[in-house]
Amino acid sequence: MEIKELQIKHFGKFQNESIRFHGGLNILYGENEMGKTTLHAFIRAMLFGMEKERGKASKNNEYVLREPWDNPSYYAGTIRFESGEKIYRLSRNFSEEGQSTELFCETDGMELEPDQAKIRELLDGFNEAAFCNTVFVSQRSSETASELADEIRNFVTNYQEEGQFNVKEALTHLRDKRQELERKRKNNQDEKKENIKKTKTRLRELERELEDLRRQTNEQSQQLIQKKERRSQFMQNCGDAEERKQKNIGLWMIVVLVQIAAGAGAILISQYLSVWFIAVIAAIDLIVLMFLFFHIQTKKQRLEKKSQDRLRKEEQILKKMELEEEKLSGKQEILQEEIREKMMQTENLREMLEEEENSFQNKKMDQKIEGLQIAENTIRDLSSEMYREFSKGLNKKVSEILSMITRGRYRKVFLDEKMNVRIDTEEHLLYLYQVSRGTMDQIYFAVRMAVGDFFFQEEKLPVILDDVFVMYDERRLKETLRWLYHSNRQVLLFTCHKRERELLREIVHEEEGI
Amino acid sequence: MKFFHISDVHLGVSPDPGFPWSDLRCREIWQSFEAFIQKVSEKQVDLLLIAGDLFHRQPLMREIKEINSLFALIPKTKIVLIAGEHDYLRSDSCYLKFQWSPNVFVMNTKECRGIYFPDLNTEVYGLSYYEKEISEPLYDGISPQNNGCFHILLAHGGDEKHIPIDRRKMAQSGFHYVAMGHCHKFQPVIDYHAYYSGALEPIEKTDLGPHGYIEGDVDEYGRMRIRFIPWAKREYLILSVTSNERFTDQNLKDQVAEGIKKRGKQHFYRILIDGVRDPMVHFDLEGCKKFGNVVEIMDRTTPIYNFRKLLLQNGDNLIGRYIRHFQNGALTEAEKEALYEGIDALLDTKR
Repeated sequence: MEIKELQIKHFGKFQNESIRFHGGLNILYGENEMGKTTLHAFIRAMLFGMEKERGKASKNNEYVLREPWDNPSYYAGTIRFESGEKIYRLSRNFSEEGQSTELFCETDGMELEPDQAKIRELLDGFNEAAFCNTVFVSQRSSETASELADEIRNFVTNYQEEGQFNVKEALTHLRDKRQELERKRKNNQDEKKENIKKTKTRLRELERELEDLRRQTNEQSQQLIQKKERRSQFMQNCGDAEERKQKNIGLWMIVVLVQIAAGAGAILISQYLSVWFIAVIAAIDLIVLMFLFFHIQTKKQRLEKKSQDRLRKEEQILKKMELEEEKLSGKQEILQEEIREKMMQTENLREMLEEEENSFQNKKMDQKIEGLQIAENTIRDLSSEMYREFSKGLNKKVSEILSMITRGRYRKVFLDEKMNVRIDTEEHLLYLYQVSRGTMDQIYFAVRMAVGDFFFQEEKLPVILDDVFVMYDERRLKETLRWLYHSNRQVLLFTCHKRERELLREIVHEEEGI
Repeated sequence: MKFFHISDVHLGVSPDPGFPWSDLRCREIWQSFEAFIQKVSEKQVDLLLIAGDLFHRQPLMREIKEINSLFALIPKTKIVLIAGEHDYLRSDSCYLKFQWSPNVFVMNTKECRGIYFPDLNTEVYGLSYYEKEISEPLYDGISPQNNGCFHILLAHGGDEKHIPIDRRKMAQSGFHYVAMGHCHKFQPVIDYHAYYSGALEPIEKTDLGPHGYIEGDVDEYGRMRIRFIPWAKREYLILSVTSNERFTDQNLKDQVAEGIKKRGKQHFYRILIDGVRDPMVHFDLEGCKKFGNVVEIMDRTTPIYNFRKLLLQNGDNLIGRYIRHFQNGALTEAEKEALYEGIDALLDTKR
């Protein structure tokens, strides 16, 4: 791009003026108060527009500064420039009533929509901030090294984000989204865990019930054994009673034996005693026997009746015992059945638990989370890769320019991670504040030119310098001008010193002479 | 002779665990079976074939008792059942211990055996699972005795791990009808010969469409006619939504609401969103669940970025590099996700 002409209708102290520029280095010499800075500001206002700010800040606003006092409605101008081998004319009226912008392509003879996006296209993609941070260098420069470093840092980082993507914001967005999903996934898992816990509790309950049932059956079988024992004991007791009955028979045997013995005795002594006596004795014996017989018989009957009663009673008791046992073993069976049922249930539940534990993997969500993580990592990697490339390229460019304009005094400059400018003198690694003010200015200049070159390689915007070489010594100024002379771009250099013009003449002489 | 053929009732299952209707469905499946027995009674069915997986897990004794009392209500119907891989005959299985009603015949052998019903002049062959998986083709060599009656094979499985079957051998085996279970969807195995009745009620979200039983009629000459009768009142249905570049979240909700209303609120829906979408549009999937029983909702749309145009516009900047980073080779699902999400996030900051 090349600025061809400025036509100033009314802007600051200028009125109906027109200035033409040629390609290459233009030096605009003027003493103080001649309006160099006004011209400088005019170019910026023409390219990017200018609006009146409201409120307190308006006092020192550029707009107010340049507003004509007597004829405000003529607060206007035109800039003619060449871009992409076509000549354009951009006219603006800044006055509050008649604010307007017109864009006209002289080559095609066509009026164009004067929106800022279109204008930006013609300016090789520069917006106002990028323009002011690179090729448009104003007089007002930083006072101290730290301010300067801040400014460099500022515009490098700002430059990166200007019109670009806000990497930090994108990363935050991705992280938030991922964390939200992870929270959701965790909730799902918690829910699943809760379900599993519930199943487990049910399982434990079942197991406890089973335990209980088992204990009950144990107790009952113990009882059953006891009962059975008691019954067998009881039955043994009954057997004892029968034995006693057999004893009675023994008694009878004794009586019979006694009778036989008595009979035998009687036969033996019958020779000595009278028959009658024996007969009487026998009769008595008979009576005694009869009596005994009857007595025993009745006693026996009584006893028998008694034992029958007891037997009946015993039988009843036995039956009752048996019944109880039966009942108990019936109960036992029911319990066993219940245990089997519960065991089946437990096993079914275990199976369910296993299924539950293996299920619920939400693949889609996992993929999404993984994807977000990949996106985050990739963006971080790519942006730091770009940053590395950016600083590498930029460092190289800055060093090149600086090396040229300091005639090799400083060959290597780089920006560290914190965007601090470091100067490598091959002996020391210097910070910006460790070099002279003049060198600092030169470094600043080199950084600006490098950034402009680095990002807008397609077409070069004119470099517009408002008296920025004040602190340069003659030698370095000459080299800087030489660099500009060779930079193959349009330069508008505003200065209040004659030395630039003389030095340029020398350079031209030297270069053409070679 | 009239027969009904069912399978895979899965009594005791709680479908869709974690969803609010899970317990209700568990009860509904029992009720559905009760009602089905009522239907068997009404239709005076001679033979009820249950081709496995009557229960979802090992049946409890009280469950068996309950089922048996239902079977006892239809004494004129002969009921033949086999155990499938879900309710397989474990050594302690209640199937084996239980004294069934006289009209119930549990085919509890490991090999195929037949039962002859003289009054129906029909012989039913079958076997039961004793393990969860059987990979031997137990049905392949089976053919019925040639005794002039109607031959039915009651079979369960048909895939690799559950008694694989050879269709050709089955077609030549000589059975007049093969009543199959295991597959939950009604379908023929061999036309006019062998059928999966499908589950009586759908059990999980993959059991799409109608479910019911097979009704078969065999006339005196042995000619058979079979029909599928839908029985389940609820179905799992896929609700397809196709999105395009002008499709919004509200459009999605309208379509879902309308689709569910049109096809019936009682059903369970799987909503699948396909097609493309504007990258700016994000679907509120959770919000769609309020329109009915939504068992699944999946957004499978791809945002339409014009990658070529984006590449052209962005050249070597971050977006350009980002797109190029994902351009070599096939992408995994996660990487696709990453591509879209990353571009979305970056472009969002520029807007």
